[in-house]
Amino acid sequence: MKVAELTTSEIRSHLQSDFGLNLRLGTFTVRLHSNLPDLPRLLGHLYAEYPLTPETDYADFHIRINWEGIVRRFFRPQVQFWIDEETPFSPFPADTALPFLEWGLNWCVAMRAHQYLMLHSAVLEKNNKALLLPAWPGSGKSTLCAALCHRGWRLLSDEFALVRPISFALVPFPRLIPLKNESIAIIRAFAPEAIMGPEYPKTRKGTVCHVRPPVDSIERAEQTVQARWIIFPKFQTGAETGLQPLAKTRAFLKLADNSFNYEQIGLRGFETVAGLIDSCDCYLFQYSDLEQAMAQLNALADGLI
Amino acid sequence: MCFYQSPSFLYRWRFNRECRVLWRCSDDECIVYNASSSQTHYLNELGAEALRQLEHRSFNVRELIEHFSTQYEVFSSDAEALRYVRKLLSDLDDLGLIEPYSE
Repeated sequence: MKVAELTTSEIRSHLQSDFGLNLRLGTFTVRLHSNLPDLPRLLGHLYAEYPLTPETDYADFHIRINWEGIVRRFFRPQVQFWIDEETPFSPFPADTALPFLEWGLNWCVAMRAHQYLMLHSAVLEKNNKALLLPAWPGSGKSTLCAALCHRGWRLLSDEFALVRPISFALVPFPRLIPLKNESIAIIRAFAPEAIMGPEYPKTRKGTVCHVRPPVDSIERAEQTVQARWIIFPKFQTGAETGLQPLAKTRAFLKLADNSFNYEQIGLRGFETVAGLIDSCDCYLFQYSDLEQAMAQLNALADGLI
Repeated sequence: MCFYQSPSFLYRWRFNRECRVLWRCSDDECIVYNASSSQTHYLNELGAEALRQLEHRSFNVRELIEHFSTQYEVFSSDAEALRYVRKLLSDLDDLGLIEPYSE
């Protein structure tokens, strides 16, 4: 069953019930509770294609987003993020509930999913080979990722490369893609068919707007894939688009530096990064024009480079 | 005191036996993972060569300079080489990969 099969009213009922709304997000199940009035409509729109799991199924994360006190419901309304009945963050403005839900869920995964090597990286697949785009904020990773997944690449994740140790398989976690500031208009123009949520101004990262992954990416969220390319993207206004081969030792250091848990998982982290590097061609990638970037990455995937 | 007679110059250095390291090398550069500290280190060509040699036997500064001089044509036994090797050994010591010892 998908979220789209529920009415907004039914989503609200689930969110307010003891069992919550059990969303299957790739490899994880999230049990979500909330009494916020706008969240059911937003979830119905942006999570429409995501599967629901039975109430009795195991959930990896139990999340609750609720009003913070009676007074705060009327005066500068704030809401609180709960994970397993704990509140790791300060309350946040109620009109940014969706960005905070997304961000909070990222935090939960980064803190707990140590069965994987977790890289701060987008992952896309074409011809059964995965492309990793590891990068820290401001590099144009999400823009590139949103563009690629609307031009025939399957999205495994915008934010997390989840890598299984030993097999080095990349595990899909196709979440909403958060675009920031100028990227929002760029993707609206580049992929008018993209399904996007409301714009949230005044977040810590400026204006944020979420893009729903294409249906195919959500439906194939059980299919792991092996990495073939590791490309460190960098958006640079006016720069000529180009791939520059990167030595494996340098790529190793950059990839480890992009990991959420490389040091925590010890030897497994080293071996997993080494395995990824061994199986991939590594590049630095500078771009300023999305069409040129698409052409170059498609040529790489099609074996033309 | 003459530089060559300073105590640090006379130290012998050996691989830290508490360490278990794994290597990943490409071209002339290496990544070394120290499983004992869970730390990862980048070593350039000379750093990697020094650690490799120290894994097998102990060296003092003079012996390591001599080794580099025979291994690499461009490496000469001058004061700059001495400073470089002393710094290299000091860095490897700081990383816990080698240790001084006396026979």
